[in-house]
Amino acid sequence: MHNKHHHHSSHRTLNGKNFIILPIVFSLLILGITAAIIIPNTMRFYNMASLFFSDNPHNFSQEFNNIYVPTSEGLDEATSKSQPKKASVKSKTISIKEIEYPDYSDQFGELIMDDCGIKCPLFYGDGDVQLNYGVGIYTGSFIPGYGRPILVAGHNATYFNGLKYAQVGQNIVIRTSYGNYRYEITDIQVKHKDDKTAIDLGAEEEILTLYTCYPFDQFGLTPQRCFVYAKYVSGPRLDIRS
Amino acid sequence: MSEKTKEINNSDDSELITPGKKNYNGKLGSIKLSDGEDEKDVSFLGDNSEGSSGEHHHHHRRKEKSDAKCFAYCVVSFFLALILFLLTCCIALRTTVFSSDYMLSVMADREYYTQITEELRQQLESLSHASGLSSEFANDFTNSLDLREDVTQYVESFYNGSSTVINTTHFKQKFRAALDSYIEDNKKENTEVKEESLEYLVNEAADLYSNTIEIPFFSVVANYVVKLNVPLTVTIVVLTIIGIVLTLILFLTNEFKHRGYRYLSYAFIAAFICDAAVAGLVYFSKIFSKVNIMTRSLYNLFVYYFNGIFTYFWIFAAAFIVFGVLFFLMFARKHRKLVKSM
Repeated sequence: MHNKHHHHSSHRTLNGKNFIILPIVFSLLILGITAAIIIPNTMRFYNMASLFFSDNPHNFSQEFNNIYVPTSEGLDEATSKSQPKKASVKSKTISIKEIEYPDYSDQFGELIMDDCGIKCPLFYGDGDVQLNYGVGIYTGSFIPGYGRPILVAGHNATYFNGLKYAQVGQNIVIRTSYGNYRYEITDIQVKHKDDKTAIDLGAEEEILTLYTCYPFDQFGLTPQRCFVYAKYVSGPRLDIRS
Repeated sequence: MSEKTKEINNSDDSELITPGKKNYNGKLGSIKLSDGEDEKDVSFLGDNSEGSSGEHHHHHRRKEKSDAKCFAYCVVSFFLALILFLLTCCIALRTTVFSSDYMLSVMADREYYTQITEELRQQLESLSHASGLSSEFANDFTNSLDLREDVTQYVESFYNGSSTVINTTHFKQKFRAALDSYIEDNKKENTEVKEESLEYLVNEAADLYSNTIEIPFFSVVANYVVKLNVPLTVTIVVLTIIGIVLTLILFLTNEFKHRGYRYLSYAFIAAFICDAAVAGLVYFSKIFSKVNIMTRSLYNLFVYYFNGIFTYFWIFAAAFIVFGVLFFLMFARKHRKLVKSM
């Protein structure tokens, strides 16, 4: 037995680990509970919202990108004479992976109709900016070489004013970075803007359709459109399966 | 035993107090403040003879009670953290989505009016190109001050719950007068002028003007805003009251104030982590910057509007960590004082 009364006190140092562990546990619980409540109720909105987001942030530093670099590919076939040359027996095929597919608003080529005095930038997209700087392919249609319909819009007071001189048999040349294409006008029609028969975007052949407001040289807007139809003659084919 | 030691002995958290008596571990007495960091053991060494089984049970009961109390305070602290996080969400929503001032300030800060003026000019220029007019014709109808006034009226009308129909009568009159004047000056012999084509052009231009002022989906969101405005304010008040009550429970029901500070510190640090995690997720994922909006003005408005909401999370996170650290320091100070006094 110890007779002597010892007073022993062991002061533990202040341990701050609970000030880290407990708040982390609390926050994980809070975020977990919040997610458990929110996620099941918002999944349908999330799936819908994912359609409205892309992989990368937008860049609005310039009005449009110019990805067009002239090439000599198919240039011989794409000369713009009044009398079209015979189509080449075999056109070169390019894998679609090898080309730089244009984004919306990119200038990716130029459209030339020597007989009508038209030579203008060709854009992917037919919004206001594109039609102020050139003519534009409707994004619901296809790019040259794809083997499907191409629908090109332009304003009648500017770049497509020359369409008033278009005649069947004339050439239309489209130059892109991946090749040069020639089309031959097969038909010209004036139709109402809501006429569904004006173009069949589901067609399995490469028909180039240019359209603009009609009549030409008139003040004001009209519901009529001038459609110029042209068949594919030459230019590299795009292999979409490769 | 000093008065202070007696006070500690009497606290609910003291694990075992048997002054002057031998206990099971051979100590004459010990004081143990048993929950976490403020644990302090003061032992009075006696002989090694065995303690009674009654004291052993008593010790266990006291320890269980102490653990239960500690757990209860942790639960209260957790709910306080949850309340603080919910308050952040509600206040962030109240001051942003539910406030017309916020949207108008974002518009002003991000030069929204200048951008929509330029976009309207481009659209009217495109319309001019489709109508036989020159590019310069469009420049006369794009006044950012007029647009600012109409946009402000449009936004405020949604938040007021009043009519949101955009009146384009003035624009139409101005456009038609300028059009007539232009045709008079530029009409050539072969140029056709049909009244229906001019009417069509004026109406299209007015539609463009109206579309420039409108914000897509805003009418849908604003509808919810009007309906949920009062419930959200009530929720903020209720959450604040609950938060104050929980704080008082933590602070006033603890005999030792340093413990109150400790549990408050847990709650505020947890709320900081939640806020910072949410804001950090939004910031580093850059989710709003990836939205598919092709119009520059709307894109900028959308990105800064939604990122701005989560800026409030950063602000609250900063405030919470300041309070969390402050409470921790208060706790440490009180704790040291208490230990020294024993």
